[in-house]
Amino acid sequence: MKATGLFIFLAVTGAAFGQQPTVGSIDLAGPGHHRCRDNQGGLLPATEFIAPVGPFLAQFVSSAVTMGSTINATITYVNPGTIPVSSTTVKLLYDGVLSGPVRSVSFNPPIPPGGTRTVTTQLGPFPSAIDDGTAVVLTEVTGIPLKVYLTYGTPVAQMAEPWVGVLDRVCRFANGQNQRDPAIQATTFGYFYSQEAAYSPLEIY
Amino acid sequence: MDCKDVAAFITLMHNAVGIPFEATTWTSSPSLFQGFGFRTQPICGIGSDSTMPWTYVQFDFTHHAVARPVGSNNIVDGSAAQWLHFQTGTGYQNPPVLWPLAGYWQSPSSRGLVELPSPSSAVPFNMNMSNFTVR
Repeated sequence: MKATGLFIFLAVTGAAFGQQPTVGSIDLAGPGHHRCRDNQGGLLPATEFIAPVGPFLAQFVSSAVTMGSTINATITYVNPGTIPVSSTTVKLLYDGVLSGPVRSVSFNPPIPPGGTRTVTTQLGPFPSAIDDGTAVVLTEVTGIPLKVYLTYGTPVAQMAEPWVGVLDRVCRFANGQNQRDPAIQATTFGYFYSQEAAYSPLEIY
Repeated sequence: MDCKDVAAFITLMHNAVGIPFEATTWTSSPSLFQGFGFRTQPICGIGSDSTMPWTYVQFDFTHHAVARPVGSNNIVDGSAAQWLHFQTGTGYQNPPVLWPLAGYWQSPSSRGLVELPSPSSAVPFNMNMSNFTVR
């Protein structure tokens, strides 16, 4: 709801910025970015389409990002106006707070009216603690909400592409932790006291 | 839900946030209770109120599964709380987190997971690890 409200606000006020490109899609990558799987094990996309593009309907992604890291966002800009566009800016909000610098994006040559251009920009760094949050990639006229799980390190083993149902829990239990041992304790205690599990051993283990 | 389920999920959660974990099962060698494993100290299973003494009961286990950071000998047992801290003997009432294996299994003054043998027993006491792969 928080991200949606921000999106609507920016869409309405975007007209005040004059001629600016909109965003057709955003693709996230880089060493600190980790694709996730849904709760049936299906690999979630890394590309978020803001509006229907080709055969795709709008889709929104969930990503895991190593805490404190900077990721690459490959953004496809669309010029809906009547004059060429030569530059814009993009920045990252994490849970409503600016995270990292405002990035300048130049289009050379300018995007012609009706044209598109794909540019890769760095976003972040993200905050340096485990968290379950919402990021918004802000251009001058568009706010792109992203579900983000901030992890301690690179997900490994059978969770190398972590399941969102697992991340939902561990990033809530260990919320705010940025050291390994306290994160382990918070996760263990969080699960033990979550009331999600009830011990029913067969008195053999 | 038993200790294997909890050890597996603890492992999955840590691996998901980039803290490498593994789950292992352990059993006593030799068997310490009527030939089939060991009897525990009173423990409080996950899902019960660990601040209430009557939630602590004893079990007869053939083996027990725990999780631990890869490369570490300190264990995490999210399946059951222990009333006393294994080192200090003071009130703990939480699941063991990063406890050294030796102290976790049994400590002086009837602390740790295993009731038998008593600290004065001449019976050799050891815990052997077996494979437990989380898929």
